[in-house]
Amino acid sequence: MAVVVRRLVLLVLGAFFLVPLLAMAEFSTRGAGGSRSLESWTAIGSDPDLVEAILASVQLAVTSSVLVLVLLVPTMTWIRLRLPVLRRLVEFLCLLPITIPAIVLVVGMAPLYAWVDYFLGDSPWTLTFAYAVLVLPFAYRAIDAGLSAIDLKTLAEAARSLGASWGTVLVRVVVPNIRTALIGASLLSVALVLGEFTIASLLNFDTLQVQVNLLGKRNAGVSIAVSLLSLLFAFVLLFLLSFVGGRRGSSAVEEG
Amino acid sequence: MVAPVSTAAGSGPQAAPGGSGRSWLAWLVVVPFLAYVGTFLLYPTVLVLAGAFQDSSGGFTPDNLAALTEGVYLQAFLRSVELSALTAVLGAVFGALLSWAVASGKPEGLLRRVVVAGSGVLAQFGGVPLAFAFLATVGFQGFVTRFLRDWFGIDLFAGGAWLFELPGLTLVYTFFQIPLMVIVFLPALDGLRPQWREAVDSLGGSAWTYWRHVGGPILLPAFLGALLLLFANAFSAYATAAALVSQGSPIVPLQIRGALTGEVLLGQENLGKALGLGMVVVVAVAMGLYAVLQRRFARWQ
Amino acid sequence: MGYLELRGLRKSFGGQPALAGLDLSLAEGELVSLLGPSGCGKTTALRIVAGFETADAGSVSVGGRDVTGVPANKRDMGMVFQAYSLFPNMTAAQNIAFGLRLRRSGNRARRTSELLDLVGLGHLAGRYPHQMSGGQQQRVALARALAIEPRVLLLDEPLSALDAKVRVALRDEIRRIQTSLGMTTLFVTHDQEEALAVSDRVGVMSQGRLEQLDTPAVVYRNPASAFVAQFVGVTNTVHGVAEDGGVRVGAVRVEAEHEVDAGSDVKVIVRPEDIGIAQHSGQANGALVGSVVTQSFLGAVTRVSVRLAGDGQEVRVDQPSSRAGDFPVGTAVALDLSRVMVVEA
Repeated sequence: MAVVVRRLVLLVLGAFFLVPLLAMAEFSTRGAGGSRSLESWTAIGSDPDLVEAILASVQLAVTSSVLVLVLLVPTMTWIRLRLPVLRRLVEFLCLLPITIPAIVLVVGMAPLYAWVDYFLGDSPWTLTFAYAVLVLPFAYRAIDAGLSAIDLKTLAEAARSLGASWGTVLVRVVVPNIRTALIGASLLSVALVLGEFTIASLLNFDTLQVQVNLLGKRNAGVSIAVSLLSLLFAFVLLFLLSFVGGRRGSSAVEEG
Repeated sequence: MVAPVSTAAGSGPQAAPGGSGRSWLAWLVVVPFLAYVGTFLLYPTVLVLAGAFQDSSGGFTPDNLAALTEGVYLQAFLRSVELSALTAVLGAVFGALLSWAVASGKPEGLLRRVVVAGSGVLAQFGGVPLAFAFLATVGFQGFVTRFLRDWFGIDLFAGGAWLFELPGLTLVYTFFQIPLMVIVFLPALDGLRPQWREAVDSLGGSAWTYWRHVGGPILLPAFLGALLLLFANAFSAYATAAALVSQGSPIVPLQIRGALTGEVLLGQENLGKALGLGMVVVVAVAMGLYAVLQRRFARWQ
Repeated sequence: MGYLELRGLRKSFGGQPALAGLDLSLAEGELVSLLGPSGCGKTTALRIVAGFETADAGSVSVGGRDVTGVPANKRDMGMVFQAYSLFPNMTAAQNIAFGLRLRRSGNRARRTSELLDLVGLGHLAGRYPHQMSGGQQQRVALARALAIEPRVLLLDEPLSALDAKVRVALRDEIRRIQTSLGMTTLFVTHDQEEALAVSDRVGVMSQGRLEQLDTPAVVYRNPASAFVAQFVGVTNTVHGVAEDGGVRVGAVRVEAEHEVDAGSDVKVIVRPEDIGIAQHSGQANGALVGSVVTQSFLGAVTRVSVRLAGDGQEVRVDQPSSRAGDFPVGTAVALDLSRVMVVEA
């Protein structure tokens, strides 16, 4: 009985999720007069605006993950070791973006970005600052889990007693021991940034999703092709992430 | 592992290896983080929250907030709540079913990996691509639209351009709400210990007894919590709606878009901030209740 | 004919045999332990009795009735799990009353408080599992299993997640309650001390089979195999060569009965308390001699490690702590091995 229900659930919901994806594949391969054609897919590479937007988004994905890791790893490590009083505050700040929708944040960021434009120019990479805020909660949770899984205090004390400086402790001891958590945080950040639309579009930056949306008005086929491609790319990222997480889980069991 | 707050105040032998008395130096390390968060998170937030109470010259006024309680803005809030609540319930019910179907399979199996990764994509990455996914499926020239028209003579759009209005949003939102439910509910299901089921068995109970008296009550807080999270998620969502709905602004996030792109009356420049404040309040209430329920559930683990 | 009978139980998981034909019979009111290393099949046996696993072959009967095909919830067996088996959404009293509720039996409140008193937790009736210590949780779990007046009580390593002190106290308490109720009990554990302390009989298992089933004293004093000897209690293993009616260890002949062909390499297994020790000087004169290398104080006894002259093998000898002062590190000693067991190497 349970087996039948389980199959039915998987079948119905599987169809609900797969049909739109198949429809995207079908729609993006339509040619003139009912034929099949890869025109929409080949057009991806030949649209200079789109290519530029993709490059901008990839660059943003990298800079945002780097910024959030550089900000969080030393701070979170230090707080666990030396300033536990600040732990609640930092947690609150990092999780705050969950409560403030991006659409609200962008209202407050608009005047701020007038200044950013003025000082740093209006290149899309300045979005890094906004995006690091968006990925803050996800990166915080991943790193927090990583730090909780190791005996940070003992490791740091051991390294310090062997003569390591705090910088050495961070780079040579902490980072290698939480690397799976850092990989997880980065992959999540990359996926989120590549999919971000709200802030980029309302601050008038041309990123991947903004271009896809714009293009959809003229040529739905190309937009749908890019959409499918970006969904598949994000899926591959997160699928790889499931193996990273799994290995961490099993090693934790062995140690425990 | 949790470092209790009191140990810091004591700062005795606990004050870490090689710890010196220069505690102000220790605080320097967190300055970059605090400066960044202050500038790019707190400042914009305060700008919105404070701006909600200001007129165009910066003086205090309750007018912006008063405007939310009537006309199109009130309508937008009601529609947003309706859309969020409906898709939260649909997402929670179907997502819980899907979680159960996945959890009863192999823990390291391919099905589980695919569903979890796919859920992550659709729940968090979704946005604009989801709008296009549904255009390709049930848009005017969509795959399913054509299929139904050519084979069964059914016109999906006989009742109007529903895909670009609330019913369409409901459908597309459910498409990312179910995966989010899987992400938050699957760990709760994994937290059910097989011993509980076996204990019920050995005491003479059935599968029904187990779900009625043990599994159900244990999962209820997690389920309700997830419902709130889903509600907040739908309420905050913008990208999908923005890509799908270009005419009119049925829900609050689209009203904010209107405010930002200059579709407001003179003297109401800060209306967008008031709308933002309204959203933050609704989401904060939902997330606060969510945190309470999460804590309740964590106690039982 | 026993009260609980396991006959010819076989079970394999993915081609790996977990039980290779297990026969076991418990008299009514008897407590039998299944003891063995992890993976020996003891838990599988218990779970087959409980009805959580289905045997590939063999049968289980209780009180003469075959229950092999009966589902777990119709078997009337009380089960106590390793840990965390209490329903977290119910108080101690509600956990205990759960089985009674399913049976719609009257006097639930009175019966529940009787059981709480039986396990010494009358004052914690309203506590939730997360508000109780591990030991208290296991007491409630025991009361919950006993509440339904089961025909058999099954204990699956119920003490293994507890601290040493609590473990000993609760183990004695389980024995007291089991004896006073005359409850037929199957107890699975990997802790030999625990098994020896509480059981009427101990079954030592290895690779899905019973190696020996007997009273604790017999299992300890007369192990049926080298495996049992080494798993139960502490043993020394000394290498030697078999001779007629004895074994040669280094240059010394030790008298011992055995059935190994003369000339083959053997292991001599002997318990630390079965070795006599005396100060010794001068020639060996056919005695096993060596010198003390370490002493470890274990309370009432002190374990003296002796390195044998010649081949340098180490042997541990238990002495009353009051006498251990006679053998400081470096002392030359002679050893006298009794009750040895000789097996082929």
